Amino acid sequence: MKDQLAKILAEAKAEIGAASAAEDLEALRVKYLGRKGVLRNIMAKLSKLSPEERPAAGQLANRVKQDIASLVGERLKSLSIAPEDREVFDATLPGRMRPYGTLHPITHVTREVKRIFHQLGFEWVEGPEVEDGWHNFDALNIPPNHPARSETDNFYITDDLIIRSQTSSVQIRVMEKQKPPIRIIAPGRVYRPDTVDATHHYFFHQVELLMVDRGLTFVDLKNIITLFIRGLFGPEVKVRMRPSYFPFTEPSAETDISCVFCGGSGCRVCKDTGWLEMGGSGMVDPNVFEAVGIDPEVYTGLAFGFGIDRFAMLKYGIDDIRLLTENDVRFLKQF
Amino acid sequence: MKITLNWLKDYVDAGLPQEELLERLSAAGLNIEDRRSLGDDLYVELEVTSNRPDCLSLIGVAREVSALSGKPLVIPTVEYKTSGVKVEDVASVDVLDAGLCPRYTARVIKGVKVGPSPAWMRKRLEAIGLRAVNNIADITNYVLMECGQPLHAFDYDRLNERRIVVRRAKAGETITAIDRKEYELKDDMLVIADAARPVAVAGVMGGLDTEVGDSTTNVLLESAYFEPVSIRRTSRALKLASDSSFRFERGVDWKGVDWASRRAASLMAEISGGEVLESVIDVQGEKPPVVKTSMRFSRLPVILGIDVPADEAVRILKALQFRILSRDAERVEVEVPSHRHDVEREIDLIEEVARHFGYDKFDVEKPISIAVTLPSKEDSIEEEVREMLVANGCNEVVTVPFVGDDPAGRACFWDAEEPLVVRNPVNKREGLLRRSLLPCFLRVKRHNQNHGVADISIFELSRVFLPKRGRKLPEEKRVVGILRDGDFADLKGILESLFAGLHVGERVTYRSSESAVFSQGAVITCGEAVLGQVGMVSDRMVVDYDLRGRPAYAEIDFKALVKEVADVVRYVPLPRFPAVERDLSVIIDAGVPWGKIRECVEGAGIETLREVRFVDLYSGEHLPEGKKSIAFRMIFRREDGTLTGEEATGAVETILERLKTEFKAELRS
Repeated sequence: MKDQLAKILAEAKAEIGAASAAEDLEALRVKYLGRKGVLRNIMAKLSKLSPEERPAAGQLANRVKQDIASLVGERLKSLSIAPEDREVFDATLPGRMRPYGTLHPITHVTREVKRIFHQLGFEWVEGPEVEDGWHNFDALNIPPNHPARSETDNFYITDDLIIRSQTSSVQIRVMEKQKPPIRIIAPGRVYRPDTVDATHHYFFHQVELLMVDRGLTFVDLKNIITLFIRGLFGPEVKVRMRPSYFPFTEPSAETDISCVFCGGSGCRVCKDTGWLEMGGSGMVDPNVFEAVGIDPEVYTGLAFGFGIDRFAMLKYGIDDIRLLTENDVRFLKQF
Repeated sequence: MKITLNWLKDYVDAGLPQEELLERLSAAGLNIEDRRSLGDDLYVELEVTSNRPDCLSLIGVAREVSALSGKPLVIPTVEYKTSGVKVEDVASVDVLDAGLCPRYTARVIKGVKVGPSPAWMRKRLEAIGLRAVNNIADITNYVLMECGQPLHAFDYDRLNERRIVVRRAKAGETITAIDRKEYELKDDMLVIADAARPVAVAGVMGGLDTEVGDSTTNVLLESAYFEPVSIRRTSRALKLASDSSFRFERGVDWKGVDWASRRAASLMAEISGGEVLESVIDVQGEKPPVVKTSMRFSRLPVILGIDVPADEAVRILKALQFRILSRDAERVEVEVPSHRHDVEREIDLIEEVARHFGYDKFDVEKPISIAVTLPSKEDSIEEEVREMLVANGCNEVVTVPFVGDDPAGRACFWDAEEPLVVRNPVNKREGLLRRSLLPCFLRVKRHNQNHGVADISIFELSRVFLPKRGRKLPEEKRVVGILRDGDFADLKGILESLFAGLHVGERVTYRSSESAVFSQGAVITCGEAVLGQVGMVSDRMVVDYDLRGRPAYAEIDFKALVKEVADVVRYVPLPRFPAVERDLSVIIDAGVPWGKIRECVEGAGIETLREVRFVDLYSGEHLPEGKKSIAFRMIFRREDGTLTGEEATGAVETILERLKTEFKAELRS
């Protein structure tokens, strides 16, 4: 009896699986479960078994009956949905792709910078791109007649209206309004007349950092820059600072990082020096503090201004800065 | 500053391996820009920041090397015999503008034999990129590179009346300089003249007429201190720069003026066989003041964050030739050497100490405190807008805001005065500051079209510059620009997705408007606020930018949009009762916009009407001339019970009646 039931279930399974229409399934249902069906037939023979065997065999027969019923039901459902699915299936045919866009590499990098400094509690601020002489020069310790004010280094609209040549002007705007402690990061476009070639442009992006508080030192500056660079390029990157000059910081430093392409052993990108120049930084010059009414005896400040375009070029291996503003869609789609 | 290491050794022997010497120079602020082997010598180009003209010479560099290595600085001794004749008896110097020329010295060397310089000198000059000319010119260049003091040698016999007059140029005066070009001088330029005419543009370049040549036998040697700003202005105005002007405009060492003159004179005596006349004409105006300043030792850790022992700080200052005037436990007072114009304040001294103590000593791990900040609403929405436009197939661009003076370049959707004009643009044809992103996008469109990329969808969130009456700075409005190859509905669809995503879509309306920018355009409003405009770019711009095809463009005021977005989203309970949908198709005058029809439907006073959705528009065959058929779906629902079919039918009838009265609409059968 047991073997017979197993055989019936196996046959039913095969037949139900092979059925391709609702009518066929109905016929199978009748054949197995109908009033004159196979199972009825076999169950009628239960009485011929010994009373000891009877309950187990009865249970088994019932289970087989239920199994066949649900097999029929499932098959029926699967036949009712998406009949075309059963046609020849080709997973390699293209799907109906939605249009997709991309963010500009400058935005990708700016976002990363933002993320790093957000974690450190820096506020994100912006300042005007068209600036007056006070914010772009005077308050930044660049007095009249200073060479940094020349027309070869700045775009002028009038004598007192300049398209900013660095984001440091945002420092002044913030310090004029806000009392220490100050912790800001200011990304932005800057402009300096230059002949355009693969590595120079008169339009580029900077990110400016300013921190003003009691007890900030050059050691903090170096730590923040290191943290930032490693957040951007990975923990293995080495950071080196060397003396430099900017009117608005003192002491001032230029930051180099170990070449992200060769790891410092020397290659074409780092001109065999093993180092890449990142940007300027330093302790806020006391003259700048005086210009905005912050007491340099009480507070110290640190600041840096790094080029975002340079980060993007290094990160993505872009070898021509002009690609960043040409906006060739074939280029843009790569990011 | 270009040097060779062998030449440098004349002044200091650092006793360091080559690589270590270069590394230490770099670490002290003289970065190695370039280097090249010259056989047994090494050519090195050092980057000298603009505040350190004292390092624009071999001796200047040697001074730093001496300070960082502790080895002595060796200055060449200057010795020569002089003839009995005094220079004052054969030449005179009148300084008419002591403001622009606070010091002028002249020596005369007679009987020089002009010819090639000795090989060792030519080799050194050529190694640092200078062309050897003749012994006299080469000596002036050699001494310039040696000590940083520019010199000029005049052919004494060609100076009218043997006079030097230092004065401003007269209007209309010209000079042919030794580069054989003629320069027109202005009256704010300082010249060196003789009794009759200018013979040199002071501090910039000598004149051709009085240049030392083969026939020269007597030389008048100039060594001077010129006012830096004047030299820079003149050099820029004439577009003429030289090794001399480069140093004068950064400031030379007052005290070095005479040494350089004597050094050159001695070399001329030695090399060219000349005889130096006795004495010197040295006309001095106001001497730069001696700078004294002091440093509190307690400020070192405050600024630097590490302890620099007071003794070490003092040692560094001494090694850099600061004269220690006094010192106690708290502070040190110093006199700044005359070649260091950049040092005036305590912070300047701290920097000197830090520089020579070594920036590598600041490698101290120190945690930074963290603080909590939340992104502003504007920041968050900015990111959302970018994401949504990307999801709608737009590529983000970054464009330069300089535009041309053409209709697109002048395009403006906002309240603004005339565009700002850049005085010194890089590209003369693109001198305006944009008031719209449109011209920048048309450039991008053209670039792509010309590079075989036909259909583009681009966007940027950037600034336009809107001059305002009575305000010094322009308003820098942040706008979202979108340009897309496609029809009006394509771009409007993107805007709708964007607005829906920001949950302002239901309140946004589009009203057709005429403008020079668009052939078909609309003003976008949200409630009372104008958000911007959208439309198909006008013929004129398509032609101006050589476009194949007419793109659609939209510009949205980002701040205005942000203002409309709710600060917090509040959940509305889901409806508890089912809705009834009914479609209506009406024939109506072609000129009636859908917006009006919808307003009419919504205004029909049906309380249970929840939504009106456009379904289809048809015009043409089977319809009378000037008519169109519009189909739309209405969704009715009650919040307090199930709406019956009869109620819905009644509502549709009311709406149809309303459309009939208002627009003479007819039901389409």
